Amino acid sequence: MDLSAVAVQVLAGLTYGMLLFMISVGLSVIFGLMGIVNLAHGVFFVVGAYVAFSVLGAGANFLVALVVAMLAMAVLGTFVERVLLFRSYGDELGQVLLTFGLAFIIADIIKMIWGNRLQSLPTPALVDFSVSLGGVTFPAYRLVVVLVGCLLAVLLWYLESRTRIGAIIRAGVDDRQMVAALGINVTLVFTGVFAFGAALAGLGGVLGGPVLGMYPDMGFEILVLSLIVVVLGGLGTWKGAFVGGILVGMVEIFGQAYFPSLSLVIVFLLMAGVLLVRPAGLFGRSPAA
Amino acid sequence: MGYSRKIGRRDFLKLAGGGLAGAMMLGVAGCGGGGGGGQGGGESGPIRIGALLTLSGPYATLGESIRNGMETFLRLNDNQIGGREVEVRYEDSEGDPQVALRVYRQLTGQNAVDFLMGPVISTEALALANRLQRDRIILINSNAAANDLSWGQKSDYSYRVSQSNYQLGAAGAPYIFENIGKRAFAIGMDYVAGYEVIEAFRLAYQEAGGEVVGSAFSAPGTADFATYLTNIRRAEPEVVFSFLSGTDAIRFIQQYDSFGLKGEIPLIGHDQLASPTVTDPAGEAAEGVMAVSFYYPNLENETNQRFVEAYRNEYDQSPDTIACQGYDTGNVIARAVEEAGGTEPDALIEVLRGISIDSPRGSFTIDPETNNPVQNYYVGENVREGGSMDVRIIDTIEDVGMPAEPPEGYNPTGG
Repeated sequence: MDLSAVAVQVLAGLTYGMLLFMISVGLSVIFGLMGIVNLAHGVFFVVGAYVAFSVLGAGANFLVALVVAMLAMAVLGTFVERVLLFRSYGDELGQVLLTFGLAFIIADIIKMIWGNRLQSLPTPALVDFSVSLGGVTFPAYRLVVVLVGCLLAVLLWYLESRTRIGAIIRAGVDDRQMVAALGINVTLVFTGVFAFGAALAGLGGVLGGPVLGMYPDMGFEILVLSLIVVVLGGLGTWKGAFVGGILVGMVEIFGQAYFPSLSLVIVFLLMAGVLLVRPAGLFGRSPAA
Repeated sequence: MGYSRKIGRRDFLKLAGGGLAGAMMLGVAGCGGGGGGGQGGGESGPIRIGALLTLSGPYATLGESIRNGMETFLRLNDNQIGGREVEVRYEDSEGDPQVALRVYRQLTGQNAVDFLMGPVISTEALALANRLQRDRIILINSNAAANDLSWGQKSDYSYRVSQSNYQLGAAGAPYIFENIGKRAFAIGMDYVAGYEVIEAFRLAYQEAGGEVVGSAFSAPGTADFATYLTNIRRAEPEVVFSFLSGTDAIRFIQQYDSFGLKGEIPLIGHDQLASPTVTDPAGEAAEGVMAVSFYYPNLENETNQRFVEAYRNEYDQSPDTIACQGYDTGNVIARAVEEAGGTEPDALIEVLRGISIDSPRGSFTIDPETNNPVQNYYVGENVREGGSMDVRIIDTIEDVGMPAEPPEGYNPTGG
């Protein structure tokens, strides 16, 4: 095995893993906190990318497009949670059908607005060069994606362990009623978390745009991978999404290189293996006895 | 487009629709019955054409382009062929051989069409192959490129107006050897067409004197080509030949650039690499990338000018090779009916063998040995002109056909 090839694959796996982390973390925390499987989450990722595509098309720079897309996704997330999902709390099958149906509707709206053609975001000019180090050439933009993923992990760690809102969310995951009994407006916290999760999906969509491109049905593909990440990492924790994302990213890239026709099977095998040893996922707590 | 991992709407719909489809199939079998003759239209009244195309799913854009091309042909000809009105019935085969067979029964049974056109997907064409002979229905194959449709599964009732996978791989190989590089790396998508194209390239390139120093097959829907790009760099080729389409082509072109290969090793592939559907989203990374194709919208001939103008007026975009195939499907049917003086299958088969067509791609001839077109291929390069990407035609490769049987050493398994 050639070391430089392995180095490139590790970096590529990290890039992909960080994108998966950004999408999955919202899905995971929303599920852990609110018990909602939001099957429209993958579509949020794609809408974020398309919003940025339009903002860039209007002449704005990449950072502006990124912020606008994240805000737009937060608004969309708030709308979905407040207006639609709100009615189905406690009804799991209802939620699944509602969010899955929503995913189809949004995908079709994307087709209406932006068309069925494949699109892609340009790499921001500032980081549009490649870095050569010891025989390894790697695009600088991908290093930026890895960096943003790490910063996001640090931010989430800080929010969770050092802030009051983090404490409320942690408590909410364990016992929603107790938190409400303490006089905290749980409804508002839920909406906030949902909007934040949607914004992070948007972040993943925009940062993934120059690498992965986008097309209307992409959300369904992404959803499957992020569900794997969530199950693998354990529900409700950002740590699970972080480690799960990197694992799945690495397995995808290395599988592609050494067992091309088996790459997706390997991801499922990994998931099955982890679940055998830790039924609640890597960072999930075992179901109450 | 991730065919292999699309666990989304299609599978869900398949589950939901499975029972329904089964029930419908029974119904169709009940009334369609024996099938029998395809000459229901007779020699007067409208000419009826049944179009079996993918109009939904990941290949929907291909089906739509063929339909748009066909419609453009009819608009330019007052919707008439040989003085008779034309009725085209478009049906969605969904890219699924089973559905294609059901649609086939419907079109040839109840609707008694004079001609079939389509399909987009080779597995659909292979599923239909032996029925055509039995039912005496002439198929103008508008896209399906499997080599075997011209070899083992060749039928007197099926004529291809597009190209075979063999041509897709072999057409540019001698040019690439003489003008671009003597050591090539070949990358194709990991499905049957990918193996057929890359194998044809390998044989033709070796024949010309070149050496394929490495090859790779990526899963359709591959998001990240980092591994392949690293392998390409390590193989130190002088040129990279690619058979990638859709998102895969876009991602590959972009990553080829961002991993720093673009300036170092020329990249050339089939028509997709110079198609606006790929080069627009790929942006600047597509500049300088080359393609070998039998059609570009800026080819200079009268038929093409008329075609492009009519197409742009209606659809607000330039036609691509697929749209040209749709146009020529109508074109071939019209010429055959005029020369045969009607729609009697035996008379049509006589004239279809070796027929010459004045096409937007230049003229081409159907080779009776393969029922496949012998046509010019053009080497094009993406150049930036006034802010948008355009194709500059650098060279013409004349009269490219395919052998009448698999050449020696042909083994499209990727091994």
